[in-house]
Amino acid sequence: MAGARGRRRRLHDVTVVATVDTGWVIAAEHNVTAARRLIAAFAQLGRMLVVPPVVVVEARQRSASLGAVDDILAQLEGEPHTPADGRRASDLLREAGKQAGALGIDASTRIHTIGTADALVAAMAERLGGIVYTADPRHMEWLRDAGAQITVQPVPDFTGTVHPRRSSRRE
Amino acid sequence: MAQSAHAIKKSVTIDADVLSALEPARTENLSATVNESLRLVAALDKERRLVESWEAEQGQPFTDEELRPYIELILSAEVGNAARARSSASPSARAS
Repeated sequence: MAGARGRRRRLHDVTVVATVDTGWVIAAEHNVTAARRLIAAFAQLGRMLVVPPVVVVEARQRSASLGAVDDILAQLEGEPHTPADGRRASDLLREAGKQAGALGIDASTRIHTIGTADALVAAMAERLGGIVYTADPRHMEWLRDAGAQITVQPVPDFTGTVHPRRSSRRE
Repeated sequence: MAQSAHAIKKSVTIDADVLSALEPARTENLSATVNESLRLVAALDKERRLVESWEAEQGQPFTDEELRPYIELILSAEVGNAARARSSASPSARAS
């Protein structure tokens, strides 16, 4: 199908593909039943949930148990990052820093708090159609406010179950 | 979805009406279109097999009651996403 800009649309454009951030994976480790039900709902609707490599790295770094988080990660389809994702993530982080600075919050602290991983997830989500499932929407909301064309979808059952080690990066 | 460096040449038969319904840009590189389509089907198959393995493990399929909140969540996210995309593509949004 030709897109509005005359290019061939990828199947991602005509099929609903969503992604998850690191917090979702960590929370899923703590609520495997909820994670399985969400993935089962995706399968029932014929939708795809994909996980980017940077989430694999971050989730494995922060998880209390590699085996548990690997079980979840192995079950999700992978989606590689592109160099364009990297440039977009950088732009989003810079803008998020500027916006924080305008509110009197240290820009570099905000950028560090969001982190490269979530910025890359947001950039990839833009490319895949826009939906990011998260257990902790704050980082994605900052990125959305910075211009990311994403829909941030918290997963209620997971909210509040984020692993305590994630709190080390909070402002 | 990830690209594979290893490719196998296969001869396939495609229904003429399917081929003629494709946009010209898709038939310019039919191998890429077939590959992309099959990659998606394979990923969906993998997702379904995974769910079936969980159902076998728990000895029963997921019930409608168990899945309903998640299906509603997914559909709600899609509606919200479509509205966001429409709003950001509108002339007034581009002008702001």
